[in-house]
Amino acid sequence: MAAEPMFSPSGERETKKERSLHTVAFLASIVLTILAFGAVVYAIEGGASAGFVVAFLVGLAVVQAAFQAYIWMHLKDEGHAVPQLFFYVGVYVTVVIVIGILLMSWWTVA
Amino acid sequence: MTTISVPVGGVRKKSLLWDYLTTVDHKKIAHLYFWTGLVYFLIGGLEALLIRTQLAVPLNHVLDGKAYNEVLAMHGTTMIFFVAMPLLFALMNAVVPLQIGARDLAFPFVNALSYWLYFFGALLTHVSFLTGDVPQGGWTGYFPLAHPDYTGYGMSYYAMGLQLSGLGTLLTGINFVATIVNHRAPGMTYMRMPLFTWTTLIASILTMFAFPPLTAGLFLMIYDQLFGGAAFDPAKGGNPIIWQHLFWIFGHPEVYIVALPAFGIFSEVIPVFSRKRLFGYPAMVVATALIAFFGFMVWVHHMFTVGLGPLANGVFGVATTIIAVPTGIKIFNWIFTMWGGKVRMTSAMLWSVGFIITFVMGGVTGVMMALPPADYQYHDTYFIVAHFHYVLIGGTVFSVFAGAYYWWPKMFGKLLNETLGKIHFWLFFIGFHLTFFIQHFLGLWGMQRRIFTYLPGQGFELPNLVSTIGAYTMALGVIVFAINIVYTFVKGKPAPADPWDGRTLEWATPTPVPEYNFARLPLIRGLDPFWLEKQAGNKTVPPAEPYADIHMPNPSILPFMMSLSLFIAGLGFIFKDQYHPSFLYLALFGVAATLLVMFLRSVIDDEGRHVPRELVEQEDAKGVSA
Amino acid sequence: MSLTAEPGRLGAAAPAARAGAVEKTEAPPIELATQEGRNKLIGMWLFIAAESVLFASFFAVYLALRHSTMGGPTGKELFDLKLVFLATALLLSSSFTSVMAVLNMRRLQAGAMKAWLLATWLLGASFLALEAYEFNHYVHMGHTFTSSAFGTAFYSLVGFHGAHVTFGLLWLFALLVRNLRREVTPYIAPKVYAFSLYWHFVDLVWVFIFSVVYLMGKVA
Repeated sequence: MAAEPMFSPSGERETKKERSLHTVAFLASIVLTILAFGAVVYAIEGGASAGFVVAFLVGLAVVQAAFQAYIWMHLKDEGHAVPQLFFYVGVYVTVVIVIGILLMSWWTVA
Repeated sequence: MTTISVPVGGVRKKSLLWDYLTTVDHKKIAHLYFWTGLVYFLIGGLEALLIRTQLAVPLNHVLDGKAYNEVLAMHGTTMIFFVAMPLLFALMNAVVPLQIGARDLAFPFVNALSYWLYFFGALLTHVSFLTGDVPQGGWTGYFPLAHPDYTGYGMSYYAMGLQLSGLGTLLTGINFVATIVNHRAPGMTYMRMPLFTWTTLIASILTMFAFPPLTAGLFLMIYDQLFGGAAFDPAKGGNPIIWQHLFWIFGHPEVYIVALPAFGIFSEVIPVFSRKRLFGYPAMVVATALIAFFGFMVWVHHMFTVGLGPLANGVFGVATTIIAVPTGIKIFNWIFTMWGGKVRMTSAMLWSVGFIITFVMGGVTGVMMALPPADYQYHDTYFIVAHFHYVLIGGTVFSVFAGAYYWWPKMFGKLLNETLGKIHFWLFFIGFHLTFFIQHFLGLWGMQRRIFTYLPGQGFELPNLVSTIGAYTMALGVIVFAINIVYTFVKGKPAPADPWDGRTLEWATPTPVPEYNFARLPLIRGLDPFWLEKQAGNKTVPPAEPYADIHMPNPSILPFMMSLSLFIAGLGFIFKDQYHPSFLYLALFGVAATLLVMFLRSVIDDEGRHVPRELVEQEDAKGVSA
Repeated sequence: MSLTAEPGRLGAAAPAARAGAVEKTEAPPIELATQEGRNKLIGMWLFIAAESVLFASFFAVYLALRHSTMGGPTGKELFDLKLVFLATALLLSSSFTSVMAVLNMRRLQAGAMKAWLLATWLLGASFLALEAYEFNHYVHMGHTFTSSAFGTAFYSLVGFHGAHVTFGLLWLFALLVRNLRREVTPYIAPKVYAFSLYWHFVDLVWVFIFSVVYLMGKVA
């Protein structure tokens, strides 16, 4: 063995900061979820158009997913350049596939 | 951390079979991929000969329609999934870790798992020959043809087999990306990586993103075939076009997955045998990345005649033609590399030059088909068959042969015979053009693909006969290659460590390569590091570290067991419909066994072992390279 | 992308920092202490990127087939928002508990880490039980895997997610069994971290499932 692996356990301050960040993300996710469900209840009662609610829902989902990825999955942290790159490529392919299949399965395009 | 030391003088002698069943060494896994791929190459080639024999004369009866469909479907499936990719994986496994100065892949255990998944996936597909329900739906598996109502359970073997081997391929892709990102030797920056490593990286990224749509499609296919699903069944509101989308979203990047590493191999061979550095290295890297990027936005060009509308066809047509630009850049760079170089026409170099000629022809017909109005003429004719054999044989198969002649000494410690190599090349090259050049015209004259025979008096007789003669000439070439392999193993002399006056790091390792590849990790001081050091008067690449104990992974039988369990599960799921419902228990047993093996892998600690410093120093003193 | 010959522009760690050649100035968190740990981080992210495309394919198929109910119950008639909200809350909480486990792991507090992981397991299991109840309910309403293309696409997507939850629970079970009596070490830390990444990803997919499948199904 060349050397014992080096690492540093998180300190008290760091942990406190992280813990409050994660708690905020958790609360924010709950708020976003309630907003999404609320919008749908509102729409069912005729308060908003379906098209608007769909766009709103997708927006909320993207924000909440970003919370998950950047904060909880530590994508924002240092040393995550490669994971970020592949995350973005994954998003690119995802968008291409969903839009492609959605537009080109039942109807002809133009 | 516990350290299990290996006593000086080597480990307990294991049988060769057990060694290969449990190995996690990338060099041995490369051997496994290579030989398995070669066996399937012979099987797929035999199927090709059957096809050409059947089509040699009109109204022939060597095969009936059903048998022809089976042979055709298996030929395509085998050649793409069980030949092209594994043979490229063989070369990647053998070479990439050596080229970047790594001791193994990032996940050696997963690497073994990938191989065994491929092995059992291919085996599962071929079990169909024993049960009588052989895939007949073509390698594209279009619905409704892929449904048991139309072709029996053959396509279930296809789906299950591809699901297994596809999982292995996905893991291989992840493995190579992680390796190339994390395991480069000190100084081996991204822009100092050899082109084969670059193309492996980008092809692996494509694998990661292209295989999941296929996996999803195959799941739905299996659901429709064996579990009463209806995703592709119009009677229940399903839509077979979705399968076509999923298949081609995978299928087009797949073409680049097998083409880009081929480009990488030629980019290694051509500079070495021209004694010049690769012309336009950064342009080559960017071109590779661009091909991969656009590769995800062109899949509809396989579906122009489906009727998706002029806008869809137009957008995808334009995107497809754009790909010709980076590919053209590459072609010119190879030509400029040879230009003014001291060209040595070795076997590997012959394949490379043959590739440039052949691939340009395949590329030009590709641009023709990228134009939707023109494609309506070519679609489902032999023009298409000619095109994709020009790019797949001219690109991938030629590259595997070039790579085999080039890296054989590093992989197997002996040099293949050059004379036999040249005979092999000329037979195969002439046979290839004889077979497929005429098929362009057959297509334009109106001969449809995938039809098991044709009528006399349409002008198809002579061209088909010529094509068949060409196919047998190619087969002769392959036989010469087989003789060459046997001859080399029996009579070949041990190869020197650097037989070609190489440029890249793999030639700086001793032959045979030690288990840990590098006694001390090398320090990379530029592109073509070995060449630079030789030019500077050094014998080898300088080390970046002192001698130390080397951490190596333990061999394991678990990858084999896990793949075997999944194989049993797959068979069980098919047999439950094909033979008897109680085979469901066999399937569940397979799934349970898989989970059990995974559980074992989780709870049994495996911290690897260490090769002691003394042994490393001792071996390093014996096998000084160059 | 940089085309200069500088080390490590694209990578997680500069190549020179490896194999003990050059000592890093600041020590990394425990899950990245070993080469295996650094590999696991990259490997898990690559796997997640690939999986996101797999789920994207199932989402695309579901969206394309969501109206093919063939006279059976539609999403609007089937979905119960209260149930879905409860399921969402459970999975979201389990994601939170797993991130707390990682937080404690980085402080080498094995007991707290295991307690949070156990909480994660229980929350995940409750989610799964709820999903099983929900599917059973749908089957009784005539919405089955084989009834229509909508059914196949729905169960393929949501069931595939459920299978991921199941697999995650088995994985976590194995982790807990293995570490019942052990401390946090650089050997085990990457395994816990990889699991937590996986678990967050499963939750991330659920965000899109409840938004796109359930909520949009209620509206459109």
